[in-house]
Amino acid sequence: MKNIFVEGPISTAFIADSIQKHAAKTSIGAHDIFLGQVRADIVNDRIVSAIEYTSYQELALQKMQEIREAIFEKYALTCMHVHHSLGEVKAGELCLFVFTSAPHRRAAIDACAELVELIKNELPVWGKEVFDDETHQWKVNKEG
Amino acid sequence: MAIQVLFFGQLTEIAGNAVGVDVAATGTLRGLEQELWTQFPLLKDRKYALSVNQKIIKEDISLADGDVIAFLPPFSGG
Repeated sequence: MKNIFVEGPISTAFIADSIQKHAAKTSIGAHDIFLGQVRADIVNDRIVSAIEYTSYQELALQKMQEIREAIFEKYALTCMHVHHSLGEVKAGELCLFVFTSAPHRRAAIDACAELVELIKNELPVWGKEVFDDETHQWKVNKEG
Repeated sequence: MAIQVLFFGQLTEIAGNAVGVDVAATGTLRGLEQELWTQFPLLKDRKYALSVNQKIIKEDISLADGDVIAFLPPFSGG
């Protein structure tokens, strides 16, 4: 089973490198990329300085495999890649990288959008929002 | 029989990361859940799903020795 988890933030160098690797796959005509970034929300005068992610990894990787199969079944994709952070990701850093590639743009765009929703709704991952005064609250995923 | 129970997300603040529970041979998932409510009263009012051996289970089922149960609060990845 493919491991989607990386410790800490996802670097822009890693993302650039992932794009570059696809130059060899010349049947691809379109890529779509979603990047999730940790937002410095303000709650009662406290500012979110980081999110600490944890997961039930065995269940998450199994679920991700099911999602991957369903997405390949539904869309004419050449490939897809998902990377999610674990541990601390500071405000402004990247915590999710979803990358779909296809011969044509519609499949890449639609598959990427659906993947992001499935990842947020179905993967057992939890975010703890840590404030600048070292208190915390548990992240709640909102629609959209 | 020995059952391992895992907690995740905000539930770790109530129950820690994991507990081992000794359950009668006739034990069921919902029976175990009630036992844990007694041990950790705050758990009862929380929203969560349960998994048994990495499968989310909505109904009641019989447990077997060595099963791994997890309490999964609403997901908030991404």
